[in-house]
Amino acid sequence: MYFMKKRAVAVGLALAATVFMTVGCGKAKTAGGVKTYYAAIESGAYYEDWAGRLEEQAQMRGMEFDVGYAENSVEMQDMQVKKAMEEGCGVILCGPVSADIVTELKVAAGDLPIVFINNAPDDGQLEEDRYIYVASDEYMAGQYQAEYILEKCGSMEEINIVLLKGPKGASGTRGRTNGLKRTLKESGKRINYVFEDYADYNEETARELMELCIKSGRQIDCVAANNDDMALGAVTACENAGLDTQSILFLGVDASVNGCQAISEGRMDFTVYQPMSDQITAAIEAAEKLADGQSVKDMEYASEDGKYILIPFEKVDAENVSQYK
Amino acid sequence: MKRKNRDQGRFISIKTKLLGVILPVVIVIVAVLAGLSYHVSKKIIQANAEELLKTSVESQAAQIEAWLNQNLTSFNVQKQALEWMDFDEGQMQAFLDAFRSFDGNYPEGLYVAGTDGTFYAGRDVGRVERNIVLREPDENGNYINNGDFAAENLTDDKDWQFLTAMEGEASAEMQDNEIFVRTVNEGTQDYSVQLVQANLPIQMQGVYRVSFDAYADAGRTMKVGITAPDRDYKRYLEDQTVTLTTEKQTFSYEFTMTDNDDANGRLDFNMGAAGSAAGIRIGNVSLVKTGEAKLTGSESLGVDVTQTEWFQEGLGRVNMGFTNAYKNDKGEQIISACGMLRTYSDDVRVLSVDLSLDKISVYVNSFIKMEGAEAFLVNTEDNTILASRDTGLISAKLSEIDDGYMRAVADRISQNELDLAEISGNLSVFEEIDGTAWVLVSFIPTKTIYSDLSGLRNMMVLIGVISVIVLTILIERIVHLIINPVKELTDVITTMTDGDFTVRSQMAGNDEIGVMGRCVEKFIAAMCGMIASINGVSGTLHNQADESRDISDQMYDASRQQNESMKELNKTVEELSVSVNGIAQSATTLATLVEETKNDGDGVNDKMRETVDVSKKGREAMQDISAAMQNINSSVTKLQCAIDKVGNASEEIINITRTISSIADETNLLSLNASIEAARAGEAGRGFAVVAVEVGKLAQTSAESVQDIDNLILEIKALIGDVVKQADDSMKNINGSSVLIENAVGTFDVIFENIVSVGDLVQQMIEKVDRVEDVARDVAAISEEQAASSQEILASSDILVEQANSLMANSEDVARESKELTGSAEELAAQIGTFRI
Repeated sequence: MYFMKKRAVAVGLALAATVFMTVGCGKAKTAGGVKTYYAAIESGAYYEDWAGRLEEQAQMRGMEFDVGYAENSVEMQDMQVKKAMEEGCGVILCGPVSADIVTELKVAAGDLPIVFINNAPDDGQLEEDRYIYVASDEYMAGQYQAEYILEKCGSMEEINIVLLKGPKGASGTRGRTNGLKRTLKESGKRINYVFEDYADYNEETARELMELCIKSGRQIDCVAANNDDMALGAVTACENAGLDTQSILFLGVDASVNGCQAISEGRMDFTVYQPMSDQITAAIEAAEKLADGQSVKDMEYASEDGKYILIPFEKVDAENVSQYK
Repeated sequence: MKRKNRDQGRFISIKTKLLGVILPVVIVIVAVLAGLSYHVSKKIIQANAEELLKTSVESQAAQIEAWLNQNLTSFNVQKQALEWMDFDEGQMQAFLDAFRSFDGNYPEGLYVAGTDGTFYAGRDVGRVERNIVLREPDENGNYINNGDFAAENLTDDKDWQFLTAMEGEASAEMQDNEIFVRTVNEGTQDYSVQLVQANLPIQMQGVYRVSFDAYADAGRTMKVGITAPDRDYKRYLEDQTVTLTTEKQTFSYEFTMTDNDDANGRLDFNMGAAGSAAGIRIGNVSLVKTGEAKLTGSESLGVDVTQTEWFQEGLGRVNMGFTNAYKNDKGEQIISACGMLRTYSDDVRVLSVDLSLDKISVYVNSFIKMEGAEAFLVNTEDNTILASRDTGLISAKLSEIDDGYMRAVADRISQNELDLAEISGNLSVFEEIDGTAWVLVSFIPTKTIYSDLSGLRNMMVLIGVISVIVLTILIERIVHLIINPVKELTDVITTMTDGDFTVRSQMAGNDEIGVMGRCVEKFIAAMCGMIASINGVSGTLHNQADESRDISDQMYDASRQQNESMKELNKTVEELSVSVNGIAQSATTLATLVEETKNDGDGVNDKMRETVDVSKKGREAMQDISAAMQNINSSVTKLQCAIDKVGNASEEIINITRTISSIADETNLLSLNASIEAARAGEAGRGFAVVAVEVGKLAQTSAESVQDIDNLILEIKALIGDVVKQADDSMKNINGSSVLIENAVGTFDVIFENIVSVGDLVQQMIEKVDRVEDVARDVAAISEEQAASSQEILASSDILVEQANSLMANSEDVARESKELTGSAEELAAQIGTFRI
């Protein structure tokens, strides 16, 4: 009897808690949908484009949207996130300035869920249905590049590759490089990385490095870059040095406007399209779900552990480049 | 006795039962708890071990990465400086020199090589002392002052100085541009006798020649060298032993200054402790710089620098990056950080730095946070081991090590399966080192993890056993405390059951047992009171039963006596009856005879006339009559006797009836008493009372019957009295007749005369006979009546006897029941007696 009473009390409390929570959620909703805040890494065309498209998606779903640019400042981003939390946001969209400050950002966000985009936090920092990362499957980009190289150089036993990488430690750099290297390694061919350096996604840096590489006088069969800009820099360097660019494969990632243009002009050979709109749609959808306390596991491309939503890339070469211009 | 009671149906105490239920439950619960704790702890320990190993490896990897990055950063800074400054050759050399021995991680410093084979390395120039002014030599290029001792004054502090120390005793003097040293005591050290000149400027990389002339008084040795008093007497020219003869010889030694510039070099001639005290003469001393040494260059490596690993790899990047580990020409495991220099010419140059792997070994081997764990660093590009505690494994190929575990690790690394796993009994963690192709593998034998676990298990078992023991003792004590009153109560009840109510249950307590104890206490008190009162009643009852038994005994005796008396009475009455019957018969016979006599008298009368005729016959007849008269006489006498007897018998009957009457009275009285007693005895005496009343009634009936008998007897007596009177009269008449008849017979002659008188007489006689006949008839009737009465008496007496019998039987019953009553009373008393109060 006593226990039944106790149980009844417990059930009552649970019900009360549920009702309370439901009311709390309802309150947030009645105030015009979930409020979301995009903490971007820095201002500039790229992230402003992201912000604009995110806002568009958010409004389609009836969510409030606000954005802040941290200008690569850890302190500023921390402050922005904290402020967003205090202003009653339901969920944070965050492109962390650095993977190292994710813990700090999580603290700043309090109990709010965070959808990370643009820059990957460490795996250990992510948490199922709470702190997730929405991005392209970087590894796949590298893998597609490697597959293209192997396809084009299938007859060669030994391939000399110049590898131009993004910033050291960046998630894109790591994923794309690993995808490329591992896929090539599995081919069993002898792969010589005649030049491999960080060009920080920068065309000018890539050009300079490529010039130095050319100066070393090494044989170059292809140039694989972590993005299109670097590939273009390499192309420029080769052209300036008077090398036969047609005998060298130039591969990029992103299917940027310039990249696609270069492919259609025959200066570049291959890139992979990062379907940004899919990422943005997924990010907003995930944000809404997390704010609502739902799981993202049933979403398309969600990983089994519920920490990632990785949108696949698409291959772009001379044959289909017109679709992406 | 108690045992016996308790053993009925296998006695098991409540305590045993309670303990029998609680203890197994407690043991099971403790065992389950211990088991669960062990299970949970095991999981936690496993998880912790995994976590710890992971953390450890991550921390090691972070240390290694940080170390690598830190070095790489400084290399990039140095590289940036080199590129930015666009040094000429000399400046670049100086720049490189600056980093020689600058950092323990790369003591060799930086070096630059070009595709044209040029090679610049940092030189070991020691600490750079600024503002060292090296004085110029004399016109002959000689740095020694007063080399010919011509103007030498040994007493001043300039130029040459002659010193003795450590028991050295010697003197010096200038002779013919020579110095002559005369030794008295050669001392214990070579510097016991010493000639020196300091302030010699020695320039780094300079090649110098020391020369002098010397000879001795006898063959002996001395030492010569160039030292640095300001640099801890470091030797620029190592001590050279000079063998002197009596002939003057010229000695000459060359050396290269590898140290930094030093303005205070010192030339030493050490002449002590050489085994000889022979005098020495020295002259023409000079120190001349003969040239500059080129210390480094591709030639010095002995190999084509462009074919080195670091150069080749350095051509593959601009930002400084690490090569694979390789062995340098000294056989040490190193890695190089290298990268192409940005140059403003067509030269292709590579900047490189060698990093020893020692530091990494320290990180790998010593920074393991987990006891029992080991780690090794693998270069995934060629699967070689870069660092391991087992130095034999360093630079071995992982897949070629004859060890199942290592091969399994190699497989995993080649498959890029770098998740935590248990491999060949080792919990293994893989951690990639960012920026390299290295994987740090850390492993711990699972049995090491479980060794803690077995300790834990033992601890759990111990704790379990101790808890069980403690709980057992605790529960036993508690149960004992709670149950003890019950035990006491049980003893009290057991004692009580045995009839002993003297016990007291002194129960304190506010629980059910306390209440029970108090109730038992009340019960004992109530029982004591009840038993005491029963005891009293039973005593009284016992006494009454005893009394009753006595009375019934007496009554029985009395009734037996009465019975016997009645039997006797009966017999007597029977006899009386027989006698009365006899009288009746006799009376009847008498009557008959009297009738016959009358008839005969009538005949006599008739025949009187004939009597004369038949006087003879008459006489005979008279004789017959006389005889008959005689018979009658005797019969009457007999009758008289019989009547007398009847009278006596009647007297006796009266006596008997009196006795009976008195007995009946007594019986009546007794029965009255008995009734009273029976009434007192209550229900038990009810049967007895009925009997007593019956007895009373019987006694009354008896008395009444006796009274009737008395009356009858009195009547009989009166009648008999009449009979006796009449019989006496008859007797007298008969006797008178007889006399007359006798006279008749005698005076038969007178008969005639007297016949008429005789006739009268006969007439008279017939009248009298008639009267006799009436009497006889009465007697017969009375006798018959008497006989009937005596029959009645007999019948009554029979009933009386029967009643006496039944009375006796009843009183026997009464006596028996009284006895039984006494027995019951005694039994009751005995039963009550078993209770002790």
